[in-house]
Amino acid sequence: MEEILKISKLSVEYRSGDTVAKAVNGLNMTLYKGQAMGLVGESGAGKTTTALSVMGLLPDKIGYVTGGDIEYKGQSLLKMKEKELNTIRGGKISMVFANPLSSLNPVFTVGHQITMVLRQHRHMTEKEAHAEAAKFLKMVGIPEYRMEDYPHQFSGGMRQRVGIAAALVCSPEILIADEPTTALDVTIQAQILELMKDLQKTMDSSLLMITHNLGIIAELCQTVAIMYGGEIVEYGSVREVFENPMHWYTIGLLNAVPKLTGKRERLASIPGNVANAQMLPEGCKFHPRCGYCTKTCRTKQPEMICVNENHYVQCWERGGKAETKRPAKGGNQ
Amino acid sequence: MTEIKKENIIQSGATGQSTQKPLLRVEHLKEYFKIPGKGYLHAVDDITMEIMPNETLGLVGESGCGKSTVGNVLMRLLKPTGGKIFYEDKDVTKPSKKENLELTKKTQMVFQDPYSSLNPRKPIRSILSEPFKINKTAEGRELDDKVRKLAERVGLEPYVLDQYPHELDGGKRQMVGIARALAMQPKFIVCDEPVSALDVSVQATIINLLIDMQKEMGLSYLFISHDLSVVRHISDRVAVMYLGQIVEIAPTDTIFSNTLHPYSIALLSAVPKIDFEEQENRIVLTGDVPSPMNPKPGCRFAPRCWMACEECKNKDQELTQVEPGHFVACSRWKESREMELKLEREPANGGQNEPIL
Repeated sequence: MEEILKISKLSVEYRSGDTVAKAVNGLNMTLYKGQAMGLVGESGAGKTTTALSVMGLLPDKIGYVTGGDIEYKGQSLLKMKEKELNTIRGGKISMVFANPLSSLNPVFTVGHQITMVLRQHRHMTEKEAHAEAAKFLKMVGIPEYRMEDYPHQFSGGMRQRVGIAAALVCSPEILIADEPTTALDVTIQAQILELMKDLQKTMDSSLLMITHNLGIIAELCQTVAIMYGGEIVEYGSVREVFENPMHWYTIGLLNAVPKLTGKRERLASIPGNVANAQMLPEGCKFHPRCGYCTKTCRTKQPEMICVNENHYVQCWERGGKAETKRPAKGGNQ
Repeated sequence: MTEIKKENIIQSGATGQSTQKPLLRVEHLKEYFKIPGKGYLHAVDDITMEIMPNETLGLVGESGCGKSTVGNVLMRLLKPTGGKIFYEDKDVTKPSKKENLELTKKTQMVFQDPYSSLNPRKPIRSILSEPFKINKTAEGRELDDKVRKLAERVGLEPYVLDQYPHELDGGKRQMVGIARALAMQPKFIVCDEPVSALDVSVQATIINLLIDMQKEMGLSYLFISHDLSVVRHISDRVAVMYLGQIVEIAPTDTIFSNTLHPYSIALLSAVPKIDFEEQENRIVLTGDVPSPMNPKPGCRFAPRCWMACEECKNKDQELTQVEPGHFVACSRWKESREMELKLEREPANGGQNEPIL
């Protein structure tokens, strides 16, 4: 498979006055062509920061990439000039944001905002762009006559579909979706998910799906990366990771979610709080919340271990004895 | 709408306390909002339901279906347009000032957003002292003592009392919200999406806390949420709402294993599932929820329903009992189950927009 996006040892900091928050710490990740990958974690894990770094949209004079590289088809996005980046951003790599109300410009019509993307990247005439935009809006279920409407005239679900249409209109090779359905109802969410599934198939684009909803990952993605404290702590095929989770954080997450079938048991919550990016612990970042933490965990940074070819985990306790302890799959048994 | 007979409800009481009277009863509750120049918005349109002591009733539905309005009316934050509310068999639809104060002690609310429901200018100690001060039940050292015990009860460390809301994370703030609601030893709490703003691991903590408090204090909850797996986890009975009406109400296990109303079936099928064995073909409803402005007669779900016939579009549907404790407002419920199995992936027709796939 062709590597399309490669993030290596990426570190990102947010600086404000004297405080430094280490949001992403040496993150490695590779996205292949046509692949849908899920990025899961609690708020503050660094998911959105990773996405913003790829897009070159980190807040100016606050967010800094302090190390590592992001390569799109072998070209470093970080070393690229703003002008060059603008030819890729929105055209080859595009992003759907979590909140559709704040990511659309309230003073321009929806039609104008989508045609602008086409005129910028595909150098279309106004007429061509209009026709192309109408085609994409129709695909997401919005009739052509609504192109003259402003964002506030749409419902939440429709606004998000506009955001998706705008992101897809140039047939991007990589689509980054940052919690695209959290603001939406389940029925609208189902519409959007089906839409993304279909579009990904027909356009053979790669998808990076950021969410904390494990169900969405299970339905939409082939691979999943679990993020904690700005690192990927477990990575593998969705089936492998969800059915045989290795990292204690992943197990905690899976056990904390109430299920739709099976016996209703007391939920297992993960003790403590999400790692504070301003004061990251030594060693494994998860160790203060982990019930299986050893001496090594407290002092030394664990490395990614291969469980099998479809499954990698970053955990001292799991290292070497991967097969001995199969964690109970919570809630379902 | 048919009168829900009490014996039916009692049979359905998943709590098994069949001899008890309902703690809260709502009859033909209506809440209309007047929109100048447009008419009336039917937020809640003829709802009849009961909540038993020590029971959790889950209320699910899409945004805009009137879930929160029901909660707000029950908390007397809105005056109902029509219908009656009974608390322990006493009509409390139009309470006097004194009655209102008494009721406030017995019925409380936990809000969705723990960021906006706590006063940012007050330390937690002061927020938690308020209920005792308003009801003049404690002062001085006794007050301090009670506040500390209250915080301890929900699992807040004592140092939190001297912090301000902005210093706490979402989970801790929601614990403060719950503690405040518990201060006057209420019997009934409306939980309006109490966990939807929280991360999964924190969500689990708050759900466990709510369940523990219910066991400890014998509380009843009206648990409003759009997250079906959370509702299934916490509720004894579940009511599904669509455009201001209850379309299906049944004990939790029944409604999840023998779903009958087409809307409930679609809602359930829309939830992304973690277990690969459960993943099935999904019924994707087209369009958005229609406007609740001046609704036309007939089943409200008919425009989005794949089973709708002419009769559905013209005749109001009544909530009828199809098995003990299981009420459905659909005249074609017998067919819905079979049709769901046959449906596979043919998109549902109708709706206000064009089919999207």
